[in-house]
Amino acid sequence: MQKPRFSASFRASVLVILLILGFIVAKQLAKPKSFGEFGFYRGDNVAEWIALDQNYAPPGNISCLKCHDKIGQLTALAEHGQLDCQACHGPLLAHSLKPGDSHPKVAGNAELCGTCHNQILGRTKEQITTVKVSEHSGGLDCVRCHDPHQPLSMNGGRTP
Amino acid sequence: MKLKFTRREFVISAAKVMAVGLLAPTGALAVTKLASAADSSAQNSILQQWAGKEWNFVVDTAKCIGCASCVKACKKENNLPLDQEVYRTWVERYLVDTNEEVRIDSPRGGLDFQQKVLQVNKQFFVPKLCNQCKHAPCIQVCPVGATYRTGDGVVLVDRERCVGCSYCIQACPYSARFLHPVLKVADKCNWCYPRISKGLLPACVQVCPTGARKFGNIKDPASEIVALKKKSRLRVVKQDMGTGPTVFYIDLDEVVK
Repeated sequence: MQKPRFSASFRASVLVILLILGFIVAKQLAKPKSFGEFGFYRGDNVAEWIALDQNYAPPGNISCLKCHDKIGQLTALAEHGQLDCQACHGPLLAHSLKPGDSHPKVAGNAELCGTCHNQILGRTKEQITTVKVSEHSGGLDCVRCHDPHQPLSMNGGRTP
Repeated sequence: MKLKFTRREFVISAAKVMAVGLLAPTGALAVTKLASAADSSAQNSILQQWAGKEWNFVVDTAKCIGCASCVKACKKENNLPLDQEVYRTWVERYLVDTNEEVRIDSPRGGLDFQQKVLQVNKQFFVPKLCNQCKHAPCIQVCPVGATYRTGDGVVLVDRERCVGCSYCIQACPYSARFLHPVLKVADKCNWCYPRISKGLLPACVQVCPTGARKFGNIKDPASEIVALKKKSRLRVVKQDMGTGPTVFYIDLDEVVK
């Protein structure tokens, strides 16, 4: 029998090293970059979330009042003064960045106002003024009588 | 029979093999550590972002009028389809009738509450959202490390890493998670992490007409939330689960489990 060129312990060592190197390479390939930076997750994901786009602009008194100052100031003094513009008008970040590109319209109908002012079980008179919207408006849009920016100043009048 | 190895030779060669086996991975680890230290600037900016921050959410149930402006705003902010039954936040209506029977409903997440004919002893709304638990079960069960809690106390989902296995959806005792209908990955409220990281309020807090939702940094002594937490009697939902929720409710009724 021919004597092997390398000793048994050398050959075993080479095998062990190859196995370990193979494992390390496989692990590095399978593990995403930045995994484990802060914990058992991909560290880069935090920055990805922070960079994600938004739809709602900063509160109205910062974004909207730059241009719509008159209506904003009137509203601030009236009953809806604590509301953010976007609570009724919807997300307006795109409009606030490029005002010419999009002109959002809001329907001043009974459905919109009813989301807060409709009389339903669970919503109490102590919390908010409620009416049975369908009876109260008779199918008309609320804005026919109430200016949403100064709700009690138009035909709806100040309630006694 | 004559042995090829003496005992001494065997022990020595075994020790050699073991030494190589231990040294090789240690060396490789050191090399990868050095490599990762190179891109630590991005890491530092994140650590800076987290420094001195611990977000908390407080809900004043007495102020909630069940208008679901929050539900609508949340869907629009986070680009979730309005017509599908998935909600990052939703509003529940609790009606306790004269027989002490509790009726809970949340049609379309609260967007579709109807008038009801019922004699009630007690009536109120409870807005629900992800509690960003300190010991979140959803993080524990994730097999791929796709969900985690950030240094400022928000549980995020890595959309690239998530395989959509839905274990976390079952693990959450608050049913706060769902499978994103478009992306097919786990999704849930993250307190509008992109917004709060830029110093804005979560969309739901911003549009809430009655101020029932409060949000802030408890490590900032000037923050409204610190004063609110000090003076109010607070309760979390399902405290006995040991999840350590960080959404606190003011004056929450005992019928809310």
